[in-house]
Amino acid sequence: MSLTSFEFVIFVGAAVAGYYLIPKRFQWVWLLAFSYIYYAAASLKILFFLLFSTATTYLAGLLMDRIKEKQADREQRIKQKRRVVAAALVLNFGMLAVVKYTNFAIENINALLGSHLSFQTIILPLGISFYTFQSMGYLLDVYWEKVEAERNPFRFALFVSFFPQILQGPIGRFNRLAHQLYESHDFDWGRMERAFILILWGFFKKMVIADNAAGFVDEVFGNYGSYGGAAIVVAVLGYSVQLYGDFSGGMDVVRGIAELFGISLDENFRRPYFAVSITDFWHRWHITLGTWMKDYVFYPLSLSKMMGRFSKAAKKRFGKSIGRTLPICLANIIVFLLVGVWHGADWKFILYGLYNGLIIAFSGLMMQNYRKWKNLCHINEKAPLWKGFQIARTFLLVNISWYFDRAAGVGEAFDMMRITLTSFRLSDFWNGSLMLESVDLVALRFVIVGFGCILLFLVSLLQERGVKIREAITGRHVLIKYAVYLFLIFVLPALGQPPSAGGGFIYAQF
Amino acid sequence: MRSFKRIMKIVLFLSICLAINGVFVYMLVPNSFIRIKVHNIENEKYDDIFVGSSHGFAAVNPVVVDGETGRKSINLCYGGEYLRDSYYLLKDACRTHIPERVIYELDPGYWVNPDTENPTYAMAYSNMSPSLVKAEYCFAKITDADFRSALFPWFHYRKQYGMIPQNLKDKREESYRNFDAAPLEEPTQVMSDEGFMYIKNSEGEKTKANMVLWDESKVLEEVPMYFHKLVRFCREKEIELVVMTTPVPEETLEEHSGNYKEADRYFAELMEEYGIRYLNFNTMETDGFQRGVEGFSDYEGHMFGGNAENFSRVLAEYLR
Repeated sequence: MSLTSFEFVIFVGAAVAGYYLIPKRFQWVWLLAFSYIYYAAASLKILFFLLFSTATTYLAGLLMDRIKEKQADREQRIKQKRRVVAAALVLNFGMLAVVKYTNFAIENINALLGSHLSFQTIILPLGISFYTFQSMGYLLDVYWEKVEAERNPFRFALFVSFFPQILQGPIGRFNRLAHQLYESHDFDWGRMERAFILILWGFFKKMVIADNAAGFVDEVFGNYGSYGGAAIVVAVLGYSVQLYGDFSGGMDVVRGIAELFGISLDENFRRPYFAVSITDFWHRWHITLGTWMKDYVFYPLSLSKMMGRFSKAAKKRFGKSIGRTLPICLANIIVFLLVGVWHGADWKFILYGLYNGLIIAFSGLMMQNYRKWKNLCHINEKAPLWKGFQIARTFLLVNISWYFDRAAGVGEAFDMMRITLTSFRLSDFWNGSLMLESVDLVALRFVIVGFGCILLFLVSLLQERGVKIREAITGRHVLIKYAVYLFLIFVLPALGQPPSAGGGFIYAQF
Repeated sequence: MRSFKRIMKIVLFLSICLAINGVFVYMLVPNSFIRIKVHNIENEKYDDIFVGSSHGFAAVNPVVVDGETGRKSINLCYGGEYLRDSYYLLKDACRTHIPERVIYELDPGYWVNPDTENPTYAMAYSNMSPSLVKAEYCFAKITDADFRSALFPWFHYRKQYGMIPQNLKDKREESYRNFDAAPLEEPTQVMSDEGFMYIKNSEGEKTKANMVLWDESKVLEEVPMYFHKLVRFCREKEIELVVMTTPVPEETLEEHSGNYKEADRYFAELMEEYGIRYLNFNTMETDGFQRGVEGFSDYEGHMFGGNAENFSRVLAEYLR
């Protein structure tokens, strides 16, 4: 059931109506039923994967809690819990690896060894990347005794399968999400209004901005050899807009739907293109993946004995300062390699992750030097011009990474970069060559995307300054409120692209 | 009291939405042949109903067929009409009057190429009058669509704002209110009131675009399912079901002989299984109409009007 289908609108309507009509103590049961109906509607076969992940994680959590209660000896307790969590991690990440990366592994083995292993037909269960990460995060929290294991298997099943977020996140945390799922909620008109605004805004970003940009982006990336550098630059910029509109739009829709039930999901985007560094960018883009990696990979890795030994050796070799920084740099590179791998089974995603990791690592190493140079040049870090420079610089670096993310492969990405540098003509921006004949492209689409971006920019600017937009709208006079709602409702069919043009949500394929 | 005020505000807001939506529908959605076809099946009584694709739309002139058979028929075919649509159109027609015979024009391409959202996707549904059949059709088809296609019938016409003056003019005419087909005449084609599209002869290069060739491995799950439903429905209502495939240019047959032979084999077996008469004019040795591409507007199989009328005479022989 696509988020944009009429079927889904009816489904959510029925879910919300029933949620507030049934006795409060059954609300979570209602959510569980609808979550499983939603997932099973896609395919009954893939339900197995969800059930497997749920069951293994639930049982592992219970077992660890039991070990905690029964095992008095601390060392033995840690040892036994470690075995349980390791087994569950291997099973679940193993399952994810098999379904997502088998054919990638076969392709590379064939290339490396000259073998002819045949590719497998493997179903890719919807949302597997998201619910695996969410449930493994819970498991590690139980292991570290940050949370108690959930005793009720059905409640736990709801935590894993909650339907608005299962397909494309955000990746929830047990200590923040679970109690909201299980608590009862009263109907609240104000909350419903704010939720609808968020849903409509999400669809605006997806249908008006992302789907309109998609046509140009797909055409140029698919046939880049026929275009000059200017078209490629516009396509990359278009992709930065498309990806943000698509992903953050989807998140807004998902969060808005969750809010209809009184549930607050974690924010996944916070105006990422206002970031002043790549590190800041990853604090604003796909936030829940970043924090998951930070809490479950980066910190454990940085604080591990192996890293401790590496840090000692590095301090000996390079001095205290670099020695202290190097392990963090290495941990960052590993984290971002994993982020790249998470995105998909392709070398281009690994390069994408590596690119980000190397920039962050390099920034970490150069931190002290940057401080010296800024002092030398008397740069006022609070000055708007400096901030503008940082934002522009970060935007440029992020857009370079989109070459890897969007191109068909590594070779294509480098090819496109080469064309960008060697065949860039400023005149292409005004001589009409960007009005591609091969696609149903007219200036109007550029105007629509431009209009959408301006509106998005204004809203983002207000949010960056702490303005709560939805509260500001719902607090206004009824005529102003209605005008905003009518605009958001009718702009979707008026300016949005039809579904075949933009396709589904990009991150729903993970 | 507060809740009542709130509910009234919501009702008012929804009414405004409906009104705005209605205005957009009036301005942007043009007059269409589907509108006329649906009106006719809901208000007239027919002995024979032709359902199917654009090939049938261009090939079957009910007036000519009726002249030979002595019956009254209507051509419900249109480009983009899948079996699901044919099934519900027939059900809708049967609310008023149960026909004696249904002739399903089978285009093998529609069995292997998925339905996509376009201006005609929801047109039959939008023009049906409210009924349980329409509700059933909604759940069968419209729920799969993007919510904009379902809730905003003008969505697929949003770029055609240049046609607003013409649409407004057309809708004020009596011919529009009377469901006349005459205003739908275009330079290249004319639609009759009985639902036949007469394609005017033209010179120039003929297109091979839009051709979808048969491939049994790509048969869509739902199409045979709806065929089964159609057969069952016809049996329940004691309607004779005949299946036919209109001819394609012999040049096309020759170029893709493998695909067409395979299609014929598949459908001949299927119809035999169901005990249904199958008329495949690509394999039947009949004359009386042009088989070469000179009798068609394209290589895909849309006949020129004159050739279609000859074909209709031949078809009528088999439907006596």
